[in-house]
Amino acid sequence: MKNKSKWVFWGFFSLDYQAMKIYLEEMAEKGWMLEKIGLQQYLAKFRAIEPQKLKFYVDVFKEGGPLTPENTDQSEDYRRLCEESGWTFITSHDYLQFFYAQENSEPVPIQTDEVLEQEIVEHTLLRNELRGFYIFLLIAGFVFINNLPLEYHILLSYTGLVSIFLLPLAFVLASLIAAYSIIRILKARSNIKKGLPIEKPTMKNARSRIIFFYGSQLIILITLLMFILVDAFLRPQILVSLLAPGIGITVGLGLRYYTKKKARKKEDSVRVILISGLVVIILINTLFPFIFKRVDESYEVTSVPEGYPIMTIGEVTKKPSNISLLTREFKPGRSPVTPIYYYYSEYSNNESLNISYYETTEPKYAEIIFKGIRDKLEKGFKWEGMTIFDRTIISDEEMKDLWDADKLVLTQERDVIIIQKENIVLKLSGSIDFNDKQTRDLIISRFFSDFSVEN
Amino acid sequence: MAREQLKTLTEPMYYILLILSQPQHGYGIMQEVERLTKGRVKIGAGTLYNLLSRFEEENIIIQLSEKDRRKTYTLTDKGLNILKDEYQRLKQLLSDASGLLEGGSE
Repeated sequence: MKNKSKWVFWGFFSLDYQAMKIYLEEMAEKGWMLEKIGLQQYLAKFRAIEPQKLKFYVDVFKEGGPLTPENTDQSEDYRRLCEESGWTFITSHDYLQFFYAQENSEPVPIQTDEVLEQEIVEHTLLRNELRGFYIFLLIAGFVFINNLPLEYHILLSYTGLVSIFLLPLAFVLASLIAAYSIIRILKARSNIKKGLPIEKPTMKNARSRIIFFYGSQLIILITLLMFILVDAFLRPQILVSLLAPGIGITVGLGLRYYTKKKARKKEDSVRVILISGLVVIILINTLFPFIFKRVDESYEVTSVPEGYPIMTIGEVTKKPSNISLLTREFKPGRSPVTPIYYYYSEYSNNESLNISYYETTEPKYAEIIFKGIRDKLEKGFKWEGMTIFDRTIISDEEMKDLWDADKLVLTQERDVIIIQKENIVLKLSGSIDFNDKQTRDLIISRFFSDFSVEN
Repeated sequence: MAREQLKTLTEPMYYILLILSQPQHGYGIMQEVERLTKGRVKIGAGTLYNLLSRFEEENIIIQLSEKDRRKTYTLTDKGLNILKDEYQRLKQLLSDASGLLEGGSE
């Protein structure tokens, strides 16, 4: 006999457990026997056997579940009973238990009471699948509402732009699948009431569901990752944002391994999950500020690449250009609708200069960015229940004309100015006298020179 | 739901309780039910496991001993009463029917 094994994509919905039987029978006829299901429900390991006809049974064990170890006293009692009645245990995955028997044997089916079976399916699989969807919907809904009205930030990155379409799509997909599961279970319930057998899903149906669900999930994930990489090309530091999901997935997989293989009781795994949750929270609170500080430091530059119009403290304060700077920071970015944008800042002992520059493809995007920056400045930040750094914004028509801007606002203290002219938005703050003609001319020629030439 | 169902027992429930009027272990129950009903009623291992744990939760049966991880159960007083009630009910059903169906020749 061939002594080899292979991993195949699994991906069955747990509600399709009846279709798994058919699949396992087909695999055995081709010479492959299920060994285990791993990596959540994504992959299954098969080992080579002599091609043969075998009977399979996939049963729902009500005392199983995602938090329950694979081998508990209860599951062993149950499997022993199944083995005594002629079924050989193969493996288990959450609630599902996999058995086989020889083709010529006649073991009594593991479930002989459809009403009872349906009741268990409802209390285990449906509840479990729906719980996942509810959590997803809750988080997605929260993220969605939290981002409404859409923030101007999404115009600034490939990831942001693509998420305008992907987030609602993922939301709709998850809702569809949840609705579909509920409909299936209601139909099964009504069949039982009418005395009809529960509809057994065909392999074709189960396969279409797998392709629809995982296919769309994969496309969303790959698209998102691709665009994160595109954004990271210009600013590699944003890859740090993958750290949180990375830690989440690693800890999750580790916990799953412990829960399934090492723990003996459900209480043990729940305890370990709670403790791990606490450890992760503490870790994130100590590690992340440290990482973000390092990331911020990495934006420090000695020179700015070509193609980015900047100004220096020396220029705006009209002081010698050898002014000793403490730091210079430069954060560039790009998106299909904002081909150039960057934040630039300089700090010396007494002076500072902050520039945010956005060049969009269309003035309408510049308008959204202008409004976004203006609102953000006005609202300030929420911090421990308080609003801090909120500013009073004023407009100055005379100044707007002087600057030849489409839109112009200032803070009351006149230390921050936001200007929009056609497709360019500029926010300046720091040691700049915005009433000084020479400074104004310098800023206009530096940042809005295209228009001056045309005019 | 479980309580409601126990007002009238399903066939597998009835036979499990009947067999458990004597101490018996899980697999023994499956074999005895099949033998007693001459193969007409078969109880699957999963169904039996679920029913036994439900009966145990509701104090209808009790675990007597465990040997080689094989648990032996028997009826509690409550279980015995449920079984007797069901037996009376079934007898009543039969006698109700016999008056009509078997007296058809009069």
